[in-house]
Amino acid sequence: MVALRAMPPPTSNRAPGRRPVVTGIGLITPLGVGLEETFQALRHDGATGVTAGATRTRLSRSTQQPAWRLAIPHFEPRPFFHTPKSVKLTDRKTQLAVAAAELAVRDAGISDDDSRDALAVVLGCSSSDVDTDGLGRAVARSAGDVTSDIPAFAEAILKGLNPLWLLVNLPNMVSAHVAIQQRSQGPNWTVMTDWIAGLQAIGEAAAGISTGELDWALAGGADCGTPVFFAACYGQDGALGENGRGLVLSEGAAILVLESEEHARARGARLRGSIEGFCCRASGAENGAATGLRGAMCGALADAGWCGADLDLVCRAAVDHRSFLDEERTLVAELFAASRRPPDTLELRSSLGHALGASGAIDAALALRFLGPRPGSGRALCNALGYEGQAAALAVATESTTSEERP
Amino acid sequence: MTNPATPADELRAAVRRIVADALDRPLSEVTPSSSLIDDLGAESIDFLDIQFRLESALEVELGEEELYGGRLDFADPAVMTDGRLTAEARAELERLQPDFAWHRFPEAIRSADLPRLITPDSIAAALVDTLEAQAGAAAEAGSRDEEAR
Repeated sequence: MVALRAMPPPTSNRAPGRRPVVTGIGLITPLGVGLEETFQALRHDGATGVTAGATRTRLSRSTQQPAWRLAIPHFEPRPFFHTPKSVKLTDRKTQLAVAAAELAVRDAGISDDDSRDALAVVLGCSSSDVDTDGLGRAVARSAGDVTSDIPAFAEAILKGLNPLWLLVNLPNMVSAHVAIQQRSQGPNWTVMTDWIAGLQAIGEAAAGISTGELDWALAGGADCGTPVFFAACYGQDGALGENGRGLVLSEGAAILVLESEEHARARGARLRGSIEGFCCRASGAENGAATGLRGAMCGALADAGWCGADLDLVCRAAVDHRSFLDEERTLVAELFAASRRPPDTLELRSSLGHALGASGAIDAALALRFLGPRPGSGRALCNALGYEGQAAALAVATESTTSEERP
Repeated sequence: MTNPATPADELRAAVRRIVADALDRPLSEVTPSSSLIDDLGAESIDFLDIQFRLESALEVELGEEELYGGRLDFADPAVMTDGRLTAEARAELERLQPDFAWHRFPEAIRSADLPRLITPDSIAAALVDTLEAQAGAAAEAGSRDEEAR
């Protein structure tokens, strides 16, 4: 058993004034467009706040959707685009990213007059579904083997696809379109580590702010797991179970405005919280998720300079596939067994479904909201788990409502 | 009492709808003589998109040269001199494409300005020409088959 009290000392290389703070949150989930909409729906749906022990929320089934899918109802992207014609150049996950970014910018009080020259965009997502609906139609009208003959492929397949297909499906489009719509000219990259991508994007952006590489950033995740293509692929892996088990594929986006504390204070921004630590690990050649997740959790806590007893909340990745769910539960119980006051836990997959690369970022946004402003600040650890032992953990904190220090 | 719509009218209406969809504009903003670039904000990739949408909806192959009036060789010095359309070429292009937005260019037209001439009705006219050419080719092929039998 590894007790979190035995962790190494903090290894932060943060420069003075470079604490990465959260000044804006943009969230879109199947339960609502906006942080408060989702938060209130979760409370209404059964997650009546954070309680001791596991809070496993119920799956909302107010809409007619197949059991494997939980989509956002009635999402209209155009109001979030400054140039609505660009909507046709975007797939669903990019539209969600653009919308969440706009919500985050509004929440952070960033005006059109504020310079965006140094504003970075760091977003995570999984792979594109390559518009399999359109691709399928193009393939269906072709005849013969066109897989080894480029001119034949172009004639048989590409002529059936809109010439914009490539632009829509390039892997950098999520971050690129957010930068276009937000007029951001700062560093820009897309993290594509699948299910841990959104959490990793926040961690990388926060690290960039800590070291002085970035001043501020739009960071988070956006993804769409609802196309039939994904269901078919995950179905082949046995991920879409029956009888209330298995993945429920969903979609969503969560984007945070991260700034160095001095940057945020200079522009008079309200502080919603901070990113205190991050770590990404893998399980190596060992089977299962536990080794990678243990390393990530311990690493993030060490990066934050926290011990297990400092935590108020653990937001589990809660991926109901293979042995992930049981491994994570066992690990969290084991890690905090020595704590005098074990943290509360939160599992959101059963309410929000699995929005693939966006899930970790969605959890981080909601963890900040569930903690809320409180005396002495609140502290949470958010987990993300990917296939083949890849894991990430992010340590977040809310601002204290008083000047008192945590005990 | 209004006259019933002709196939050409329906084609023009279809082009306006497709242009409006592709450029994310209300149909009311897309007039028959709107310049796709100057009035509706089209960019180069939008022309690819519009061409694909037209071909898919109308089952026709529309070449880029047809959109620009066809038949003129813009590499010919008699058509383009010093990067500008010659007076003779302009007169010929005006005859071929009366629906272009000619009013925007009272002076000599540069090659880069040519796409700015394209309007929904000039696209519809190009489609009429193309569809007639395809129908003629199909009839000719049918006659040959008949003779062969």
